[in-house]
Amino acid sequence: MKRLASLLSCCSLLACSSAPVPAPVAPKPAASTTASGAAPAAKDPLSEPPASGITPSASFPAIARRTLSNGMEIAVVSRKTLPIVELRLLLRSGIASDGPKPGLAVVAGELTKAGGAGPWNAEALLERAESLGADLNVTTDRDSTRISLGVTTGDLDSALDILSAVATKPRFDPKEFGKLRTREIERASSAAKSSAGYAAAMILYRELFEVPTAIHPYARYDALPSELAALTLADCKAWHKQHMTPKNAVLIASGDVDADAFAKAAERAFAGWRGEKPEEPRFSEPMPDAERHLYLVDRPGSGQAQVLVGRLGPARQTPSWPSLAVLNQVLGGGVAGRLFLDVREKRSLAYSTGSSIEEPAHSPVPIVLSAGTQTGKAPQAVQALLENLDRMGKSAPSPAEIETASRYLSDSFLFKTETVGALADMTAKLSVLSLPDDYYDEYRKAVRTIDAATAQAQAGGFFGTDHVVIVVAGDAEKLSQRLTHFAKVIVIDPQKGFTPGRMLPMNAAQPLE
Amino acid sequence: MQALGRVLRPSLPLFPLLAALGASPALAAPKATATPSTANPSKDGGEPPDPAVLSLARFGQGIERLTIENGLRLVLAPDSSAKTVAVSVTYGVGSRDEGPGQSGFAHLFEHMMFQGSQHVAKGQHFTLISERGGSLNGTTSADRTNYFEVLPSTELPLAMWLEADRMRALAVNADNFENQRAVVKEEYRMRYENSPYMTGMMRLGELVFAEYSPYTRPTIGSMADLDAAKLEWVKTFYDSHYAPKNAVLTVAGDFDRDEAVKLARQYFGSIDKPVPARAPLPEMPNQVTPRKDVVHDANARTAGFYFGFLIPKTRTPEHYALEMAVSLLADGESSRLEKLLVRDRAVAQRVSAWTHDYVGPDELALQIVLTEKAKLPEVEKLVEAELETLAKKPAPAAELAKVKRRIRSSFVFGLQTNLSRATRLGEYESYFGDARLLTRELAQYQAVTAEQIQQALKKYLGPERRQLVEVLPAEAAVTPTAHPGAPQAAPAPKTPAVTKGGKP
Repeated sequence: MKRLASLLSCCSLLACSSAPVPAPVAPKPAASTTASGAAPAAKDPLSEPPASGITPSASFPAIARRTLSNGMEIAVVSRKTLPIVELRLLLRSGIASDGPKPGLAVVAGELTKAGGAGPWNAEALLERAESLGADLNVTTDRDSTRISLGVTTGDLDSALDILSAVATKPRFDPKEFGKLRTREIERASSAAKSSAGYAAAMILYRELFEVPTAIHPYARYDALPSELAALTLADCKAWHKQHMTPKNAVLIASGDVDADAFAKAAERAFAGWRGEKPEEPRFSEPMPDAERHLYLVDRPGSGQAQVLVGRLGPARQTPSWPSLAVLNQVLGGGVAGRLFLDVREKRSLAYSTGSSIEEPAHSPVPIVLSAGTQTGKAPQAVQALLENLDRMGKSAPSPAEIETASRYLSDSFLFKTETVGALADMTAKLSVLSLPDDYYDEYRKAVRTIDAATAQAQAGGFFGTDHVVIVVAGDAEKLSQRLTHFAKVIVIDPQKGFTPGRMLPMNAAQPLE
Repeated sequence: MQALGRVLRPSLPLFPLLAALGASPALAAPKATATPSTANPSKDGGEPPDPAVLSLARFGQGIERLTIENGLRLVLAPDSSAKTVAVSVTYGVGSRDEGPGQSGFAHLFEHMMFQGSQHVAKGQHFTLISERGGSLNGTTSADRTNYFEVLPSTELPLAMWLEADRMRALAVNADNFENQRAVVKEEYRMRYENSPYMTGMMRLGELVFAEYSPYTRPTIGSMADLDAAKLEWVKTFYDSHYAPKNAVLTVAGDFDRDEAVKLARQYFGSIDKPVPARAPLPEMPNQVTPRKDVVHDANARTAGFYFGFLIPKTRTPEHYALEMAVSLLADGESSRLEKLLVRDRAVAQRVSAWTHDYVGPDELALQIVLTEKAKLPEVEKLVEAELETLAKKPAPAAELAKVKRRIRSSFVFGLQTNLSRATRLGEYESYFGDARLLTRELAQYQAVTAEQIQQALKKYLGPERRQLVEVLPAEAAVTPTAHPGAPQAAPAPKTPAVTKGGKP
C-alpha cells in the first residue's frame, strides 16, 4: 500500500519522523559566497538568494470551549477546508499515574479498547471503527491518555458513540485482558533487545529522574516485562474508575465541525458519565547523582551505538521557555543546528543527530542530545555531544544563530498546523500543560522578539556538562574500556531487567581511539 | 502502526515512463489543461455526492500542467487554505539507473545535492530554508529522486532559486563526498544493520526481483559498493540524469499561478542540459522461481518471516486488486491476519503487508514477527491458508466496503498538506505523465470487485511464485548485505540465481 511503501523503499537525506525536519542557526543569505570559488563577475541576478518576504500572518484558530453537564470540557477548532474531523478524548492522566504499578496506565488505557466496549465485543469494536475508515487509537504518554479517531464529517456521530463506549463502558473482558497483557510483555521484551533507542531511553529517564527515597513518576520510560506480568484486571478497572472520568477529560474536535452542534452531540453521547477529578501524583524534586556516570546498555554485536546525553532544565512553566526553545534550536533543533552541522556534516559521525526538549507537565524538563554512530566511533560521538553542550553553556550563540532559530520556531508554525490532526494535538497540549488559548500566538511573538543578549545570559543556566547523564546503547565488549575516558562506566543488560552489572572506574587517560 | 503518510494513487491509461506531456500545453498556450470532468461522485445518480470525493475532485480541478521551453515540466496546484507553499523537484532517476557495482549511488548522490551548488555554499541550503521558517528533505527510491521544501508562502522565490541553482551546477569536492559517504553508511547502519528484521526485508527484495535486475538491489546499496564509490561518478551521474528534461517541478499551496510560472522561467529557463534517454524498463518476466532464504538477525528477539511476490506494475487493474488484498489481509487491527495471528492465536506480535508501487513490476510483501513461543512452520501455514481462502471465497461485501472506506480516508487525510500534495503530484507526473491522475485514483479502488481480488490472488500469490525469507534471532550480528551468491531454493528450484547489479 502506498502508505507503507514510500517509507520502506525510500532512503532520505534526513531521518524524518513524520514531517520533514526543523532547523535553526546561521548566517544571513551571505550574498557573495560562491561555493564554486568562481569570482562573482558582473552581477548575475541569479547569483544571490531572493530577498525574504514578510511572513503571512496566521494565528492559531479560535478554540471554542464548552462544558458539559457532567463536567467534561469540550474544545472545538473549526477548519472547514476538507470534510474531515479529528477527535481526541484526552484524559489528564498518563504514565505518571501508574503509582507503584508500572505499566498500569498503558495497559488499562489500551484495555478500554482491546477488551471491547459498550455494545461491541473486542472484535466488533475494531470492525466498527475501521468500517468508518478510521483507526481507533489509545495512546499514553507521561501526563495523558488519548483516545483518537479521525473520520469524514458524515460519520461524526458514529465516531462519538465509539469514543463514548470506550471511555465510559469498557467491557474489561478477562480473556482479552490476558491476551493484551501477554502482547504487552512480548512488546516490551522485544523492544529491550531490538531497539537501541528504547534501551537507551529506559536508562536515561531512570537516572535523570532519580529520587533517593521514592520512584519519580517520570522515571519510567516503559514498564519491564516482569512488572507488566504483575498487573491484574482489577488494577485496570480501578485505574479506569479513578482516571477515566468526565472531570478529568477534554473532548477535542478539529476540522469540519461547529462548536454548538458538536457540544450537543457530545452531550448526547456522553450522557450519564459521572466521576470526579483524580488526585495528582506527587512530583518530588529529582536529584540525579552528582557524580557523572556513563551507562553502557549492552547490545552484543551491534554495529552502531546510540548515544544520549541528557540533563534537566527548568520546569516547563518557566517564563524563560521561549529563550530555552530558541537556544535548543541553535544547539540541535534541525538541519541548521550546531549538532547537525558539526556532528554530521563536519565530523561525519552520524546520520541522525540533534537535541530536543521534552515537555512534561511537572518537574524539570529533560534536554536530550542524541547521535547514532558506528560502534568504533561511539567515544568520539560522546565527546562531540559533550563539547557542543559545553560550548552552549559557556559561550553565547551569535545574533545570527539566534535570529535563524527564532524565525524558524515562529514561522514553521505555518506548516506545522496544516492538518486538522495537528490542530487537535496542539489543542490537547494546551490542556495537558495548563496553557491559555492564546498560548501559541504569544509564544511565537515571544520567540520572534527574543533579545539575543538575554538569551545568551540564560544559556549558561540551561546548558553545560555538569549533572549530565550519558547513555550509550552499544557493544559493551568493544566499548566499555574506551568509554571510561568520560566517567565511571556502568554496564547494563537490557534483557535482564536493565539492572546494573559490571562497573569500570573512570580513567581520564584512556584514549578515545 | 501509526498512520504514516496515508496516500494513494491514479487512474487508468498507462503512459510510458517519462513520456513528455504531449497533450499538455506549453507556455505559449498558457493555462489550458483544465481538468476533465472528474468522475461523477454519485455513481448511480441516486445517492448524494460524497463530500470526500468532491473534495478530491476540487483539488484535481485546480491542477495545471505545462512545460517550459527547456523541457522542464511544471505542475501547479494552488490552494490558499494554508499560508504555505511546497516545492518538489522530481528527477526521473533512481537506484534502478545505477550501473554494476554502483549500488546505493543514486542515494549517495542525492546527499551530494545538499552539499552546495554554483551560488550556494556548503550548509547554506540548510540555513537559508531554516531561517525563513521552512523545512526540507530529499528521498531516493528505485524509480525517482525528489527534493522538496515547504515554506511560508512568501518564500516561493527562495525555494525556486535553490532548486534551480543545484539543477544548473553542483559544487562538489572530495571532503564533502567523504563526509556524505560516511553519513550514508551511518544511515545504512541505522536503518538496516541496527534495526530488527530489516536485513530480512532487504533479502526479500533480492529474491522477489531475482529475475528482474532493475530492482534487485536495495536503494540503500551495499556497504562494499558505498565504499567503492568514486568522486568522479558524481559528475557523470549528474550529467546523465539531472536536467530540466528529466525533471518535474511541482508547486502546491498558496501562490499566484502567473508568478510561479514567471519564477520558473526566470530561475530554471536558462538551464539547458542534454541528457541521454533513460533506459526503458523491461517487461515483467513470465517465469518466477520460488526461493527460500534464512537470515540471522542479532536485533531480533523472536523469529519472523516474509512472503514476497512479484506482481504486475502499479496502476494496472490487477495491481489495484492486489492492493485491496493487502488491505484485507493486514490494514488495520480488524484485518484478517492481524485478527487471526495477533489477536486470536497470539502467534504474532506484528503483521504488515505492502506493495512498493514501483513503476515496473512490483513487489507485494507480508511481514510476520512471531511471538516467543510460536513456530515458524505453523505460522507460515496459517498465512498460506489465509491466502488460499481469500483466493477461493470472495470477500464479503461488508469487509470490502470497510477496506474501500479506509482507502477513501487515506486519500482525504493523506493529501491535507501542501508538501504531501507537491511530492505525490510530482511522482505522478514523473511516473505516469499526468499529475492529475492522483486525484482520480480513488475511483479505481472503489471499482475493484471481490472477484477481481480472487483472480489476482490466484494468479500472483500462489506458493509457486512465493519467495520466503525466514528471520532467526542471532546472538551476534551477522553482516547484512546484498547477497551475491545464489539463494537457497525452496521446493525444487530450477534456476536459482540472484542476478547482481547490471542493467537490463
